[in-house]
Amino acid sequence: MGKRPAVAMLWTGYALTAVWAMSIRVALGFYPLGEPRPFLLRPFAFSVGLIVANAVTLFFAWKVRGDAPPRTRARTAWLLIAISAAAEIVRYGLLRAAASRLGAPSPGSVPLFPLSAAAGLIATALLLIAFGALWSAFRPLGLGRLGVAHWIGIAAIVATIPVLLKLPAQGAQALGALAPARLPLIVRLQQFDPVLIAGCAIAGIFLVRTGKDAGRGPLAAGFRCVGLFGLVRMAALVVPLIPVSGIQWIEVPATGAGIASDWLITLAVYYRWRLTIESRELTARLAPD
Amino acid sequence: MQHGFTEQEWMEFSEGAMGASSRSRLEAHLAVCAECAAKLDAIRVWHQRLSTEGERLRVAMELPEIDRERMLAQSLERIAAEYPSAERRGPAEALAALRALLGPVFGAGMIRAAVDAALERGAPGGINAASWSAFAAELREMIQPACGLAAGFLALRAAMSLAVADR
Ligand SMILES: [Zn+2]
Repeated sequence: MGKRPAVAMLWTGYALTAVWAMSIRVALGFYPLGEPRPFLLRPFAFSVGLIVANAVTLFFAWKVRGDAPPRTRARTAWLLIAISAAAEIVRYGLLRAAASRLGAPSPGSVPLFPLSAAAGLIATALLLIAFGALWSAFRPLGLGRLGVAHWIGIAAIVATIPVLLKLPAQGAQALGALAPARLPLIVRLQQFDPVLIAGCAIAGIFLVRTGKDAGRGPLAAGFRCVGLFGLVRMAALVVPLIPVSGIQWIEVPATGAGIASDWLITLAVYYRWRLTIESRELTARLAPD
Repeated sequence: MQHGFTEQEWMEFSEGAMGASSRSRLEAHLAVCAECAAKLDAIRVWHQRLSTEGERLRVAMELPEIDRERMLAQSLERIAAEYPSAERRGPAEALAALRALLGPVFGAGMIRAAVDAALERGAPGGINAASWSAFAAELREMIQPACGLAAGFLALRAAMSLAVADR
């Protein structure tokens, strides 16, 4: 497949998953709790889109890992991204299983919700480490040096962390009946989630800068996707907190874009794989066998 | 070397990447030497053509497979045609052609950074026919950790396809 159709397909996947997430959110207002909803509007349904995104990420990240020289930071980074995608698949799988069980909770059963939350945390933490390793792979060449504007952006992200840390507590309250099902340890671990997302946003700034220094090409395009990933995840957390009337109109799309943002990592990994493909093609052209 | 300026300096000047003191020295010389002014014009025109070809190569990379094959071949042919004949070919020409070839894949900034680092490590005494292959090997070493094995191999192959002659 050509590059453009493939990229267009991945963006379509992102848009569809985001719209799906949004319509489920809107449907919550129309169908009272407990009333049957059409299958596609059940809360867990859009996880199909996210499972597909992470399966594609896993596939390409593993291929890119094979192209990175042994014992390099880049190789570790691509391995971590592959494991992170696998953890996300487990997470959404568990979420689906948990949602299908909601009606009939059986005592002594496996705590699926906390397990899926743990898988999500692990996935984000691995991504964060991988982004750092990728950035450091370009540093020896002098790429990715931050300017004043970048540091101001990072300071702004860091400044929102205390506000974001109050979120999981509110979320646990909102869950009400479900809250006892969560392991106390996981609830405490979830406090780190906003910190991890803020970390991804900061890593995005580093990588966008690296891509800008590298100049136009697949590298820069991939790093821009990572930057956008950090941005939309951050926006999904921050936008609902903005005390402006009418913010709910932005909140729904912002949350949808944030939930579906796994596709941006898929795009980033695909762009990096294109670098390998294009290198091989040009090599073959330069020295036809 | 022409009138006290190295090939590296000519290239840096034509790309606007030269340090202030060397630049004013070369500018002062250009004002009084018609031969060097003509050489600089030729280098600039040639760079312009090469970067246009590099741009076409970038476009070719984006195309569907069938068109890509054809466009890539044509683009490479034109870059090869722009590459001077053996007796006129020097380090500056080789480096410029290398950038035109690899810039579309890695990005112009990435390739400039990798070339600079490889020149420093592989050819600290300057580029010539003897140090070119050491430079090519270093270029591969610079690119591989960040961009992967296929990218490193491409850099090596591209550099080795642009043999440098001593003049
Ligand atoms: Zn002169």
